[in-house]
Amino acid sequence: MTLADTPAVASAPRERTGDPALVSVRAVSMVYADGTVALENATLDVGAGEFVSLIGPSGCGKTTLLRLLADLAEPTSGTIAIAGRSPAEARRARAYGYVFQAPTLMDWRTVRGNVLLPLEVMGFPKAEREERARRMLALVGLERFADHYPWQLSGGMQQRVSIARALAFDPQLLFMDEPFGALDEITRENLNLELLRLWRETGKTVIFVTHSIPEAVFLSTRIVVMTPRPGKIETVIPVDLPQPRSFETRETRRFFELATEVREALRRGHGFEVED
Amino acid sequence: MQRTSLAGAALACAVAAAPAAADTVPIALQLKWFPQAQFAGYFVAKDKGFYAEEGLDVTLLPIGDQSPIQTVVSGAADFGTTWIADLLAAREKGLPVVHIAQVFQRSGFAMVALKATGLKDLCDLEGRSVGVWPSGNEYPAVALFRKCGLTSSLDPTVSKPDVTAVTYPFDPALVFPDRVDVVSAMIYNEVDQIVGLGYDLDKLDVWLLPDQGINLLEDLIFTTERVLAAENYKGSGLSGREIATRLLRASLKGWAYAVAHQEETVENHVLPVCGNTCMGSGTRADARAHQIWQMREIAKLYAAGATERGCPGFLDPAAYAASVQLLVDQRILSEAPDARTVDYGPWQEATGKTVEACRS
Amino acid sequence: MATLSPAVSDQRPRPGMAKPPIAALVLCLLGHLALVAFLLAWWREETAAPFAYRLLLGLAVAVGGIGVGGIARHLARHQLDPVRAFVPALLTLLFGLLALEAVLRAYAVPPGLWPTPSAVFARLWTARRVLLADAWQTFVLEAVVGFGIGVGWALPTALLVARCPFLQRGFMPYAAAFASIPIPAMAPVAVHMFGLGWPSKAAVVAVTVYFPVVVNSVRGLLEVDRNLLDLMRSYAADERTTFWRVRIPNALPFLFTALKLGTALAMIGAIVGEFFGATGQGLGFRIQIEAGRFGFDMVWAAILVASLLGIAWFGLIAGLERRFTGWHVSLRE
Repeated sequence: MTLADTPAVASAPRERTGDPALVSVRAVSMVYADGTVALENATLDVGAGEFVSLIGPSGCGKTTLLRLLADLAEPTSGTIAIAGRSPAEARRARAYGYVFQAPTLMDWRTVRGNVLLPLEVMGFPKAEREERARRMLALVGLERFADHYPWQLSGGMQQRVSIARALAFDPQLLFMDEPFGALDEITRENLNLELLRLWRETGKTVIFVTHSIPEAVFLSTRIVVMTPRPGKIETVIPVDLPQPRSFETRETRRFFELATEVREALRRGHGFEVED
Repeated sequence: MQRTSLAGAALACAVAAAPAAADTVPIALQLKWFPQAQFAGYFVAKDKGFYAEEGLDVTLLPIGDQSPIQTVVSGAADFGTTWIADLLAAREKGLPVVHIAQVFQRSGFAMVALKATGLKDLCDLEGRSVGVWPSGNEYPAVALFRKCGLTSSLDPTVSKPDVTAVTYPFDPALVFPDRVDVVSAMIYNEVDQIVGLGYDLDKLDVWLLPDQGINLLEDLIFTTERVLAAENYKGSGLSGREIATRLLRASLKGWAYAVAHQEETVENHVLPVCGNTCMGSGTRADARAHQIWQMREIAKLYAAGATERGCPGFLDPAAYAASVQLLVDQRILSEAPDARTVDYGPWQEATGKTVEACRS
Repeated sequence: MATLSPAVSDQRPRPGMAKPPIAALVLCLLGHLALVAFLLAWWREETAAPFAYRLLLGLAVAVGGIGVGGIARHLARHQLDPVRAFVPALLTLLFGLLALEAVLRAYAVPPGLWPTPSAVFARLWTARRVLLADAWQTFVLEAVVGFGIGVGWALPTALLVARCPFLQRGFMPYAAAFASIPIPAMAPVAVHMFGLGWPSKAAVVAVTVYFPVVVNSVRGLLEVDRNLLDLMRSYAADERTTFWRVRIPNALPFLFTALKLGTALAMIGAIVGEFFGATGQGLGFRIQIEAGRFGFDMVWAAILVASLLGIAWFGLIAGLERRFTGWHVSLRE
């Protein structure tokens, strides 16, 4: 209740970079052909270097918003700017990497081959491709599995390949759509920690869709709470947990306070069916 | 009468084990091809009640591209009609088939070529292609090739044959004259179809195989040793031999009538049953004319040899020996068939004549 | 992170050093010996064997059958290397042939109904040149050439259809319908159009193979994971790149399924096609002409040749499939 009066639009904290908003969403709505309102009047700014989570129950428009940012869908109204460009221009400039809920790896390519895919498509020189793939696999701790096929790996390892692939061409932005949603709790917590490390080391801006409150609190610098029917932004909660975060972060009092805050914001928007 | 016999047949089937009290015995006769005037005698015997008079309820089965021997040996039919070479080849392969009557006394197998092909002698076939029918109907052609000293692709051990035998599904229009130089043709059927293709007889060379020394006997009636040995055939109370005798008596009566009343036979007994096959394989427009012409040609094959001596249905031992000799000489048979291959008993019973009286 | 163990592990049980099935081996040996003894005794006879012989023969078949079954069961329980895994199949084949030979001889079954295996193998040898020429005609000229033409037309068609939504609606329903009707039924039509020689059969084969390959390839090109397409879009990849890197690899398993089916369809089409007329050569021609003459030794020899060629061809395509789509879920080890 403490944030009942917090405006739904919050400007990004500038303490990390001081840059103007990297991602700017202005009054964006998305209505499907059948009349379903997937997203209504969403406005949001994300600054460079932030880690912003979009949280909410199914149908709240969080994935829709991510797809609009990535130019995988077009808004019905409103404007989106990514570093001053339209999403389509940003996509053509290869400004972001996208990680899907499913690993979405090519069965016919090895782990290395999958990481090489964007580099091949984007025409990187061969030597550089190999070098980048090697570095990315090292970054996610999968060097030893470079020559395995995706189906020979566990779900968590597959998702790490997918992350390595998204980082391989060094985009400014990382869009992640519930990347750990299908994994077990232990693997998920490990990967959360791993992801935070990557974020710190690479300085990427991450926009992360989840329906797990602890995950959102643990990862984010800000949490965008969304509610369904119609999908809209309920509130934005800044997360002031100190960096770097560790397993112990989850046991601090502040962690629980923030989790409660998110839960209550969801409840206000009738988003009860959120995972705890 | 017909109706009660059907009911009787149904009853006999229903209580198969019980001795038959029914009026008629159900019998199936396998014809060699689809219905046409070639089988006129059997249609007459059935329609005019000759079979029923003998206590038989005969079903006449048509067949396409297979040997009638298969249906008779398997028991799907009790009796059948086929050609001598087919019968003897099957006998040599161990199938217990028995010849009981010879209906056609002359072969109607011909080879036809366009005069323009310039074939002076029928043996002049090396490097030529010849159209033949499969399923046991190719033996006369094989005998011809061998008699001429030629190998053919019908021989399973010759890889570079002198003559290419082209099989085709009975309609000569499929292959002649574009695909083959010479085509097999029955004098009572395909010859007329070829004429119907627009090649008049004066543009054709027609060689009757009997004129070339290949007189292999054609339509005959056969059954199996099992049928002839049966004491109480299908629970009818009649022996298999007795049934064979009755079938022959009625069939020969039918043939005598058909040959004597050709137009009426075609009109009343062939055209009503021959359906799609009336026109041959579809080249002649007029079914009736084709069947009347066929009946006339068939009558010539029937009314020859033993029939002329008053012994229709008789297998002249000399003609039989000549067919066997030819088949052995041309290595279609490895040896003469055993004596049980021919059984004169039912024919003698049916006609009251003896082999001695009828032999040539 | 590095402590996560690899997901791959060999879960197959190690071949156990179980004791050999003595009883089954003895029964198997006894059965075979009895069959061989009977065959030696009755090889030259042409009549049916006396009742006592046939009784003993029945016993030998039963005993040997139990023995072979026991050995097969024993081997099935223990994972073995591929070579020894073939033993049950070979043993069953050998025993089956021996038993068939003995029973056919004991009952003096006419060769015009059912030839003995030895007669079939003897015929296979004496007619080898003819069968080779027949196989050349049926397998190479008709089946393989027809298959090549069919596939050669099907692949460009599939590429075109996959890129043209109009064709997906206008053409694919018909292709799907044609893929499921028995094309060899049109063999008589092909004979009229292309004559009695091999081209008419190759045409039947080509049409038979064409439709399943088109249908399956189009499915493979279109039924692509939506996320993969989004992924390629996120890379700003052009249509061509997406086609070659996503759609084509995705279609390969579908294509190979159709190709394997196609080998069987091609053999059927070629052989059945010859039943409607042939120029004196071919396995279908041989089967038809010899069946009409009750030369079933030759019929079975021709069937054997057709089967072996069909199996070898299928195996070749399956090998290529393993080589090129070993990653696919159906082939993972």
